[in-house]
Amino acid sequence: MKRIVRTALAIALSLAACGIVIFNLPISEGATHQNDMTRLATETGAPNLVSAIYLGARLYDTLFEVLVFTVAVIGVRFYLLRRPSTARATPIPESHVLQASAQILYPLTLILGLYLALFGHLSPGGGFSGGVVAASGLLLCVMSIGAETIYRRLSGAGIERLEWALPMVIVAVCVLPVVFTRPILSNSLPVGQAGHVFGSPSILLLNILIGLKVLIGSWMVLYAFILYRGEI
Amino acid sequence: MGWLGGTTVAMILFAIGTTALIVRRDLVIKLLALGLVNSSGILFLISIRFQPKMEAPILPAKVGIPIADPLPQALVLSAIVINFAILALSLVFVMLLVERYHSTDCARIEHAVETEKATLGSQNLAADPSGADAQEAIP
Repeated sequence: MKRIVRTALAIALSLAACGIVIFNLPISEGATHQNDMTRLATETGAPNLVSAIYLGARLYDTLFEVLVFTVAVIGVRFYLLRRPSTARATPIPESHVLQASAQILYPLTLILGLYLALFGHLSPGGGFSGGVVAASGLLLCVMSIGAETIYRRLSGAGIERLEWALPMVIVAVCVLPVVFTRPILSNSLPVGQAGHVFGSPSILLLNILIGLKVLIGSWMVLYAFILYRGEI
Repeated sequence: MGWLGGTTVAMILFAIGTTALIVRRDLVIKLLALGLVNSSGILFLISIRFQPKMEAPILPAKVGIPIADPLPQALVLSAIVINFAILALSLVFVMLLVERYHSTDCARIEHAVETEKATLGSQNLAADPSGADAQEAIP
């Protein structure tokens, strides 16, 4: 009885909370500031307006997004890897069907991730999604080849130092315009022809750096979980 | 079916997620519910500035067709990354709790922690009558 009352109360509370928000909200008929959007696209050289916003106009937000991701990776590794190494489980190999299909799938997934990161300013995609897609490609790679082999091929601890260095590089790219006497967090490299792959080199550079950062960070989280659980 | 838009679906998902967060006692299901609440927030923010007729916010847009507002989409990107970070970190904490108390039930874990505290407190009182170090002795 107590449980039913609690459930009903919870449902009523959450529905009321949503209802108050939604029924007091004006639904728009479209982007009213189309001229601003066109100006933003020509300023940054990126036809994909979402990229133009989060790597151009609101780059400051993206910096802290990268910081949050780094803190999460540090936290996961701190809590999982400080246990004694004897307590860690030994890897259990996957079944042959999964191994064979993962072997076919992982190059495609890695290439898709690279494409998403490289063409993030022209089409849907970007550094974050490209990095996560490439990291799931690495997970497939781990399923087909084995975690220890991948760890050795990625030069083990070297890639961890690269992961710690990448946020610094991203901050350096954001501060770089000061050298060319432009305001901080603006385009660090000259804007080319809009719609071209090299039309907005600074967004391309940031997409590649963020994609690499997300890829290595996700790989390190994955590797910590693999060491801890011993599965995959 | 005009009422069944993104906002309505987001509202239903939010209600399901919050209900599960409050009612269910399993920590992993609580994390799944938290993910559901997060997704509903993302869906809501996207769909308040989007109508089914609109184009994706990639220029050059077709003449006469309005494009969706790219601003909430760009801001929601941070929410997705932070959701991933929160999920990974809280899964780690759940794993540590499971390793120590052998349960994902939050009520049972709470009970185990209380019992542990009580036994440790009585031991400390027996060793040291002032009981000043009782807090530090809990590992």
